[in-house]
Amino acid sequence: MIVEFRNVTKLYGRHCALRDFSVNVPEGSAFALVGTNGAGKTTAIKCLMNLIPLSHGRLSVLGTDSRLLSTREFSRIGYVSENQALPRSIRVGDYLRYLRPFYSTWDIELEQRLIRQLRLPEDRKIGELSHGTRVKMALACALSFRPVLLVLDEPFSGLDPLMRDELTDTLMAQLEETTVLLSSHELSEIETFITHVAFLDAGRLLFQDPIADLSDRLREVRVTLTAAPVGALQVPPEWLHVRVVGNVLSFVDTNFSDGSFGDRLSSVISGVREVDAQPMGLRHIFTTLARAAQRQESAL
Amino acid sequence: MIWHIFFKDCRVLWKIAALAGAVHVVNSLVSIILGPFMQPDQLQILGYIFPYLSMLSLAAIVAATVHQEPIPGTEQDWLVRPIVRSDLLAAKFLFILLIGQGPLLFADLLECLALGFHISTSFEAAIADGVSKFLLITIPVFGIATVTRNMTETIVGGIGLVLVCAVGMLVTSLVIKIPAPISGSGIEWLRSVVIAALFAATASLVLPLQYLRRRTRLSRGIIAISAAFFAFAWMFVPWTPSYALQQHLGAQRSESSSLEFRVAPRSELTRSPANTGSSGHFDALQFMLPIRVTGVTDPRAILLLDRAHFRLIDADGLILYETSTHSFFEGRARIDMTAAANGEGLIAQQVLYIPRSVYVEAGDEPVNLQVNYAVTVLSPVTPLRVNVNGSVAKDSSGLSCIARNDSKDADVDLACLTPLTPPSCVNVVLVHAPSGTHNAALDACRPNYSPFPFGLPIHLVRRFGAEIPTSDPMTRSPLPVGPLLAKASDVVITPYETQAHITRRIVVKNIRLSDW
Repeated sequence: MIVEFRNVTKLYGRHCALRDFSVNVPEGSAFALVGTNGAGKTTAIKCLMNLIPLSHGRLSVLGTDSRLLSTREFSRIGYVSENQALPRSIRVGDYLRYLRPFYSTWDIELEQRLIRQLRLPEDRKIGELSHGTRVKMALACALSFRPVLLVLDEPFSGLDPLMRDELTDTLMAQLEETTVLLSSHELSEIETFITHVAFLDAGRLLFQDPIADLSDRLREVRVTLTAAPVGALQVPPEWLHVRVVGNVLSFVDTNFSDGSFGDRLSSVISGVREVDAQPMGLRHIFTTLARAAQRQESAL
Repeated sequence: MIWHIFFKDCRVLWKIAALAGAVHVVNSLVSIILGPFMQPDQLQILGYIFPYLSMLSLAAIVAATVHQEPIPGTEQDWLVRPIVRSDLLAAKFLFILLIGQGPLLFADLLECLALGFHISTSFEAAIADGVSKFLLITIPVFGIATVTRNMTETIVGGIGLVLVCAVGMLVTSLVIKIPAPISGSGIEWLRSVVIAALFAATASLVLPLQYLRRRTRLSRGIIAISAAFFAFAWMFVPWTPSYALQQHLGAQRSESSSLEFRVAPRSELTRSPANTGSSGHFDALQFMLPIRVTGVTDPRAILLLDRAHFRLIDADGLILYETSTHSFFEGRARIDMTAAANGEGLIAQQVLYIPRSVYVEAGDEPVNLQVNYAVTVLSPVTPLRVNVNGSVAKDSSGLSCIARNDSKDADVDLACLTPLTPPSCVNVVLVHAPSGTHNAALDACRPNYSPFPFGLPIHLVRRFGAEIPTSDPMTRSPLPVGPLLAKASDVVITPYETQAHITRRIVVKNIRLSDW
């Protein structure tokens, strides 16, 4: 594993921003931390980069305890954050040239390609750039040395669709050689390239899965019955958002399997006329799970 | 990577560095143009503004350098780069020394050389000024800048710390009601040294903590504690150990050890009411204590009172009142020992103010009066002779003097310059050599026993001088060297150098204040 969170807890005074958080990021993956605002995604990433100390637990990055990250590890980690404070009074080109000697793997050709691809104005001061161009600048700084691990904290936040596309294209071009860990709630942007996803809510991990498993496992199911069901249905806990409208039962099955679904359905209800189980998009999966988590929390 | 970071800072900060350098140079040019007599008058205001601008610009470049890579916060880009923290700290020091302090050293050298000082004196002065500003400006600003994110925060933090210190000192002085022990004395320079040591100690904790561990909250706490210590150090650098250190550092000549202080016969003790007193008591009684001073072998020597500390002690050993002064009588701290060179010595009148309340309470009780004296013996060194025609005379200690007739051709203006520590006492005499006449000597003392130039004077080159009268100020009748002779006269300036710092104690036993 290239990153391992083991029971990581981060407290800000009495507020618990991250609670007993455990996640493994496999090498070569594009791993997304997904969650609502305040879920703890940025806290997890800042702990990973040793920008803030974790309160409890263990966090290993490239095989090193995150608290002991040294120049050796930092020279292999690229980092881009929506709020990254790049030095304002230095020119784009000068800053890229300044960073070169710190990285033995810095690829000047790649740097130049990124400058062209992202249309970075080399002779302008970073402080004069728009937010979007600054993020692109940060990405160019993070990719030019071909990092082993690329950490992105809400990289698409505040960007227009065109810039998002540019950023996504640039990222996808790098995926073969880099493990990516990113936090985002711009799910439609990341859906196309992520391989793994972890859902956080209120500092807790709801679950983590390879995206393929998740797509296979979660289905939006619509069951047409011969007649409207009588009385309350006893549904399994992995069915979320269960709704009955007339003779139509709809729900999200979080443990779908082609082989066993029919048996599970018939054990809950009879008189099934038609079943329609559709795969779900990441955004839909996220909103469904987040709402379920919120409902569960308010019930407690 | 130290030089790599250094050159990056050079590229980014060259404008502010150039501006700061220009301010240092303009400051020196203003001083050069003002010359020994601080003229023309229209330029004098610049002579007072630019030294402060120079210090501010040094502080600004230090803060700007540090803020290229701010330490507090979690968003700074450099935090996720493979930059060795100790390299970054070293690069910042290098930049501050070469780009921040370098132009200051150059400007100081330019000023001293242009004002005619010897190159070695100029170097000594420029380096002393650089070291002083490094310890008293650069280091504290460096520390504050590492716990702030930008210039605004640094300014607000700096002003906050200054206010805290000022309020702390004000409250302390109101509560304690005695002036800081070493204030106004020749050992006041030790306060700057103590404060510089405090700043250096604080920086040696804060800078590694910030650059290597980024413990901003802890560092801010350390700076706040240091500010409290600053206020404490300003007020309470204690007299006794400070003076002992001064004695240790200063020259000690054996002949001074024979100096004796004795209280004169009790019949000579006098008392008179006074409305004000040296220690700030508005309703006090003035007591005169005649002190016989003997044992001085050099009749040219002078004795400078550094401090007289009085204690009124009752029969049970309880201290009823204590106070201290830096002068014998009528504000004079200096005694010329000419009259004391004979065996009987001389009588110095020592004034003591005792609050009426203390007198009312203990006036009829037998008490012991203890006086602890700290005095410095100074001897004249080779005088400097300067003609009134405007020529310049210099000595080997870095003193340069010039004299001229004043604008009305009546009196003689004398101006002396030194980039090093000025002499503690000076005698000035107007002499007309052809006729062998001279006027009465003028004397002045402003003791500073610092063995090296240290501190933050407004001007690098210290100026002092005198308006030497050629006629009686009251009657306007010509003095022996009158206005006519003055033009062909010389001014003889005699600086005094420290021979020894001496402590003596006298005790007057079983005395009733009412009998005094």
